[in-house]
Amino acid sequence: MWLAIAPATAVAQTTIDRGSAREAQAMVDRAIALYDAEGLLAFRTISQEPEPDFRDRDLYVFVFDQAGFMAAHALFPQFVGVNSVNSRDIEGKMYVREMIERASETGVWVDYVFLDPMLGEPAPKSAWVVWHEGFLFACGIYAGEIGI
Amino acid sequence: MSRAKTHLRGAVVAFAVLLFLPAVQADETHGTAEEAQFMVEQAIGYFDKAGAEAAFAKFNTDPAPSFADRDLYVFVVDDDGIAVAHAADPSQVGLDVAGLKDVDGKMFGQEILDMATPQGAWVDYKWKDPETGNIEPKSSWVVSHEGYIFGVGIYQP
Repeated sequence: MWLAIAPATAVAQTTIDRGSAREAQAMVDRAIALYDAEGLLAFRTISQEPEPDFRDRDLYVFVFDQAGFMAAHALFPQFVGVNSVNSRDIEGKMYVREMIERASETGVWVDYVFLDPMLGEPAPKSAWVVWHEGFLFACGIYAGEIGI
Repeated sequence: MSRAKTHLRGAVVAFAVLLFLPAVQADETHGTAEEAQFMVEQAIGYFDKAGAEAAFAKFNTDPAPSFADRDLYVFVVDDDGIAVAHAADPSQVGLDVAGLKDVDGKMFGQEILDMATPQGAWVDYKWKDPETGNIEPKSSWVVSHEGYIFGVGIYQP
């Protein structure tokens, strides 16, 4: 399984140093661990002091509840408070709804198009989404480096 | 007290809160003062982004876990003293808060209306803990914002 993602990572590193799928999953795990330790206050850290644990290169954590309320966002703290349930990507995909419908405690990958912070323009994204105690904890990777 | 002094005092209190509250561990049933203040901040953020109608609907019908967590829950009172949202017991929507007395006869509803400022204030009274069902001492953090008062209380059994 490692072999499947190694070539993509190697190619990406020649241009932009990007986070990997495994790093995205580890970032989600850290966010859940902080929530378990601190409760809601974890969201303040994730939104207001995200680096480096919750924001690193093109990786960043975002957390929303099962109704789509954005509780924390490590790249765009101004998104906190937004009801994201009807969000569509530029291809019309309702990706937040898909995350809410598909999320599980073990985690799923959800594909959509979103602003790539390294390029400053929309790019294909795969977000790792884990449902935990009524919240969805997510962190995505860009450039199609999917495959675990 | 001058506005500047009030601000200074607020800052000192906030600093003291930051210094000392993390030592108070949240547990399975009780939220902390810092968590209550943060929940109010999140609730106001949702009100600002989603609008009053959507925010109050969320608080009343689908608050957990963002706006109802253990014994912490959001309540909102309008300028006329009428409850417009209650995340633990939506049947309290429509209640005239100004007339509320606690078991000791304290007119805490009026105190909430009087004390709430944009900077926030704590109001102490006794109220039913949704986790235990008992009447317990409660301190609510209340913040006035755009014609509404947003509150979240902690219980100190």
